[in-house]
Amino acid sequence: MKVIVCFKEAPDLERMAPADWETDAALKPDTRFVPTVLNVYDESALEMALRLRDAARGREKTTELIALTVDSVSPPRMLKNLLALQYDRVVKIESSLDLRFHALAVAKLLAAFIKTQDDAPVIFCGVRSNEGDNGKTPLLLAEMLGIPCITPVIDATLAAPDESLDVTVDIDGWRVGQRVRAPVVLAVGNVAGSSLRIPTLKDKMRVKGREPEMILPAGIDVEEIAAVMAREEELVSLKTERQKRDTAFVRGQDMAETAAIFYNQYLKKRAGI
Amino acid sequence: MKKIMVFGGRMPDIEGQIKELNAFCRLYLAGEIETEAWMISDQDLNMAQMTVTPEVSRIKLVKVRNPYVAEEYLAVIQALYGNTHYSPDTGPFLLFGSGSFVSALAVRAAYRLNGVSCVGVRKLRWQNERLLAEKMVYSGHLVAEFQLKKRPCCLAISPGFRDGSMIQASGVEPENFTVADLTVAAGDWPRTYRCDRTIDAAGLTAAALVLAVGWGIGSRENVRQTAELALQLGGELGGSRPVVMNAWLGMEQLLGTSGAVVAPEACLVFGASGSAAFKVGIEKSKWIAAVNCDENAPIFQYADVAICGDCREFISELLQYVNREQRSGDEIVYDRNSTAK
Amino acid sequence: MKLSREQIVNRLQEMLGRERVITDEAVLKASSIDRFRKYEDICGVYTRPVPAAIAQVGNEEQVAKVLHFMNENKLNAVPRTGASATEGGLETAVENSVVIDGAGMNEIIRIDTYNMLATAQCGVPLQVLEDKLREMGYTTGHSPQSKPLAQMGGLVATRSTGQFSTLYGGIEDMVVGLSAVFPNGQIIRVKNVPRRAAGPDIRHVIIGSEGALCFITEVTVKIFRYMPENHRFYGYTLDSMKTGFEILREVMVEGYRPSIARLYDVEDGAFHFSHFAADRCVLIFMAEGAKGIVEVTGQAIEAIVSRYSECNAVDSRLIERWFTHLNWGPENIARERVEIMETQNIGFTTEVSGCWSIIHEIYENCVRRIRDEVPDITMVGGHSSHSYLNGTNMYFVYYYNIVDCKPEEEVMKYHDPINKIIVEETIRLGGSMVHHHGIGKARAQWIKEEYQSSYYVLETLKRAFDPEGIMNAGTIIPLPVK
Repeated sequence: MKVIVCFKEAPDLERMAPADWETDAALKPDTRFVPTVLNVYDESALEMALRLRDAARGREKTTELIALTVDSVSPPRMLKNLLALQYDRVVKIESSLDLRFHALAVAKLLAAFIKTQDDAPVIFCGVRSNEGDNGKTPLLLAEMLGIPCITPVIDATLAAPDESLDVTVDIDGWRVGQRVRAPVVLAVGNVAGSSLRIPTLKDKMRVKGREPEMILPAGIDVEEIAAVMAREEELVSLKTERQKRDTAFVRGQDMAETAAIFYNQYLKKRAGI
Repeated sequence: MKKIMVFGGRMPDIEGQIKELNAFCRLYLAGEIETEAWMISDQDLNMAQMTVTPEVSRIKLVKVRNPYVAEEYLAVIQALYGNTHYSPDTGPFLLFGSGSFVSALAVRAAYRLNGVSCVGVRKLRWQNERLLAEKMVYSGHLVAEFQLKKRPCCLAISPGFRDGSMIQASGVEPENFTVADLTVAAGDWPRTYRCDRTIDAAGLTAAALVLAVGWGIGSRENVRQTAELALQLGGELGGSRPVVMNAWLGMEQLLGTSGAVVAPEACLVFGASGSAAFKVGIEKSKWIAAVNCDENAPIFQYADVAICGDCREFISELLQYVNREQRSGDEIVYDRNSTAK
Repeated sequence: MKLSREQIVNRLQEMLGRERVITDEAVLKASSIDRFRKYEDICGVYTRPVPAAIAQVGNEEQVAKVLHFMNENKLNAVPRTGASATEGGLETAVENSVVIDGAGMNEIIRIDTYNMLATAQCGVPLQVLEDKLREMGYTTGHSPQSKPLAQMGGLVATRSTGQFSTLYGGIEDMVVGLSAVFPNGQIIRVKNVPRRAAGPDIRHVIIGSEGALCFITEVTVKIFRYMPENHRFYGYTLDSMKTGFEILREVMVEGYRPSIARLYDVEDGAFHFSHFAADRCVLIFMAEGAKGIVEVTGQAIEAIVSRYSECNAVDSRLIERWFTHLNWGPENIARERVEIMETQNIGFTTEVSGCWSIIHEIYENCVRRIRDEVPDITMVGGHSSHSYLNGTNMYFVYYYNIVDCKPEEEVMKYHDPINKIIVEETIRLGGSMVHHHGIGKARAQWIKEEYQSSYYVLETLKRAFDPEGIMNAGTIIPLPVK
């Protein structure tokens, strides 16, 4: 079985200072001053794939795991950690384009790499990234590859005895369980308990000397992609929204009094519902 | 330009989609004359039994084999779209609700119809012949406006559009359509399939009072106490992503970018610092009270009433106070029956 | 005859009233440990004797009454305020202990801006006092990472230090006077004066006593003018820790007092600074105080660092953003619990100190040995964060995956061996095994090696003030090995 996980590292937006949100001429906030983190959905996807690999151990066919990213910010240390966690390949597609809001271009780059693979893969993606909030990449990737897409996935386990997967989806108040097989795109949503495991120093030593691959897939014309991006949509403004409310602070002598004041003077007034 | 509302999934989700799309269209697409609704479901939809109807002049009903298999719905959309011809200038709007299933349909339909899509649209306007769609990006920190250049334009709206009015049956007679080769659309995939109702998602979004907890609540035990307070006050309980990820609350109680967006009369926020992703979930509330031990917590910037202190202590005191009030026979402010169940 | 649990609870209830005596089983279990055994806590496995009760004292007289009762009946008392301890100091090591919780004594008694003094009861959270002072344009100058959790009594009892210690000193430099209750019920007060030479400074009997001699009820600390508008941040990346220690030394020896002077190694730095310092050490300074002093200090730092060509300056905003998110509040602890549960990866810290001539060797030896000798390590590194004229501290940070190990075996399999390496190497080279977390119970086993011949004074203090050995048994001085 071949499993490809598409992931992205992005700035930790909760650490931005108010001043950093002012955008420049290229309509970009200044994210240079904050560390980067794995996009949360992608982190779940990376761990989910590792669990599939663990479950498949001892079976006849081997599992090949590929971690694939299109970005410019992933620190090399993070990519190496994925190798240490025994991802067989960690591939970074290099592009100089501003892809924040162009899921179509991201999907094209991912698809170009995936098409070079011989076997039909199970492809994991996070449902969306924390910068662009596009919510489109896995869907467009599936369309380009002409394969099904299931979203938002909360669990994927190996179904005995073949290479099918049992996939669970939480969708608008319904839980859908289905058995599927590759090729398929699984867009990973909110999964509880899915932090990415951490490699030991020994794991890291084992992959010493191995480097993530930096590639530009064959058949990719960056200018053509830029042209496609320009024909689709264009970002015209990017602003913070200031809607500060007039905040009244409630302070009593102690918490019991604060609670009483809050209840009588504020909460009770909201009675007319 | 033509406006097509596309509804997909099952009841009662479809009713929710009708309400939100009616509200959105009244604000931003009221002028369109040629209007249609495509209603796609594996269920036999009975328009007469619905509490709302889409505000359109024509309704097409199509039945699919499975609930929530996107490939079947997409085949239907392609088929319905393919029967009509549009010039590039008048290429239509395909409007989808805010749920994750229909939002995904919007993106994939746009690709198949060679159009453009946008997910989470909260405003739409024209400027010098340019169509501009507004949505939240950067996890709710920033507002972006995009010019959408291709047609058809497949828009999935942002959650939170509310339609207060109950529209009586419009008198539009739904027409039944069939799309022949759905088997081909989905192939032999999936191999097995089951679909169960998990929760009544409407509980949180329809509540008049919402209690929202963040990391600062500290423990599952404290969440339980907050649940008791919610019960006493007749409100619904929700939480930030970390709280839900910690299994202190169910996934259906998630508030924010990746969960429910609520707009109650009152929202009490306990121990949430106010990350942008969480803010999106509660900022439409008419009135917000926040308790946090950090006076500089961002949550206070969008709270009407702020209490600086230990939220756990506050919850405990408020609960005791409310219990005493109740015992003394005072009228209790929130009537449990008034919140939709 | 020893009192039964029930009798203890009854007597405490008579003294304090029912509502001040907590006997809820879950709370008692959680109170049998501190963050040293956070893994046991997360797994819900408690291996320490569960205390008989938690006594929530409300005033000095109640403390005296409870201690007197416990002393008479030879019952172990564990004093506690903010409960952010990390070294086992709050573990109830013997049966039928009573946790004396001073968190309810949380009144700020006086802020005297003329004499520059603030007096607070033991249960005042430092964050509350600091916020109040800052509103008035002052600061305690004390800023441990635990500021959102820690309370004044515990901060003094553990001889804590803060992020700005290089300028303001540790808590021992801040405490002007204090009040405490001894196990026989004796209430004592050390008055507030700018200096005294009337014999030994008895404040230091109490500061750092970790609840093993007395219960601290009230403290008076210095306050300083707070001028955040003058704050300046400086950051550099560099190749080696050795160079970093040299630079820290030069800044101190040349007489400058930045409020922050920190040096991170590559591994620890990767946690915080991966976005600008890939595989490099990081050196950080902050200057604060009056404008002229800040300017001179800043210029001196820049001049000193410029002598070392391997240092590259970084944008000061990188340092400011990092600094904003440095402290640990309840939400960090909640998040940490989840991460440990999900990944079975857990992190701890051990802090030591040494003079300039040995600190680099301490650093190198400890990191190398932990890496080589302890299984399942995922990260080991550290930083220096408190510098002095004579030397600096080393704050070791280490994470490991818990593999094939019951919750109750975690300390034995991983944490103790790591502590042993750090303590052994530090003491062998002539440093101190504890810089600011306290000895607690975790490091009490090496107390004689730490004190050597001066252990006589420590032992005598304990015997003199706590003859029945009822104060926080096992802390500072270990329990006899069974």
